[in-house]
Amino acid sequence: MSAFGAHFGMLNAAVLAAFGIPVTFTPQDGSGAQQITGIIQKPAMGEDSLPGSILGASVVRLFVQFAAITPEPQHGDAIAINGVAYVVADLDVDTQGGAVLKLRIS
Amino acid sequence: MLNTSAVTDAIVTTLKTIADLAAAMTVLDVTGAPVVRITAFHYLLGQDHRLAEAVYGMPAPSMLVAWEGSKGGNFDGQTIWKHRWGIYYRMGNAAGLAVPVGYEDLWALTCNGATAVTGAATGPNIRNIQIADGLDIMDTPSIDHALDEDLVDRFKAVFIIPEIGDN
Repeated sequence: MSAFGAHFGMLNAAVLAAFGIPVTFTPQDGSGAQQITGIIQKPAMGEDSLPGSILGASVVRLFVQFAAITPEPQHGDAIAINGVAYVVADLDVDTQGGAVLKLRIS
Repeated sequence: MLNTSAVTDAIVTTLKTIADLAAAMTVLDVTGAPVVRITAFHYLLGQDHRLAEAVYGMPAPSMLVAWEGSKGGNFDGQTIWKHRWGIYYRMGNAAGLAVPVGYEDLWALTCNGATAVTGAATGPNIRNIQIADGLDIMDTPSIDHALDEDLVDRFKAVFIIPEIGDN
């Protein structure tokens, strides 16, 4: 990894440590649920409930340190935020090891 | 002219009688009870979301039925109203499924699946029944691909149903 990439990795880690929330990631490979940290980002459209609240917003954009998660998240994986179940509908991986997971309530 | 609110509910009821379609839209709620996620939208301020938000927030899987307008005109000697409904689809998570039910399957089930509105398990398909009193059978339905706000695929079908005379 380049120095630039390494610095971005450190930046992502610092931001996630400061602002991240724990979520439960269940990959579809059967390797079992694990806790990861993510930051809920501004959605494409506002909803009537807080993302990850008990009622649960239907669509959540979750920033994660993609390169640090094993196995890497993919379409169809499950993520629970405060007990609300979501499926990974899409993901946008950036060039510096981060990704935005686009989650839809399931 | 018919009140389309009741027809919206009748469309939902009819879609739910298509066994394989209902099965594809069924999930278990928090108590473990099955719930068929085919619902109506009625634009009720204070009760419903705005339609755009309702569509945006549709869970996977689910279908949403919303009246989207009526066209008046002298279509033929006995038809002066054609009512239009949007049928929004969100397929369920297909990960790990040996036989996933995708949008193509959902549309085929919608058009060709046997309804049970007459009480028989293998009734005519939804294109060939009178969904509610005062309505003719629907015009040939259509469906189109769409992208949601996150650029994820979804589909929207359109049912146009002529009214018989002027009720």
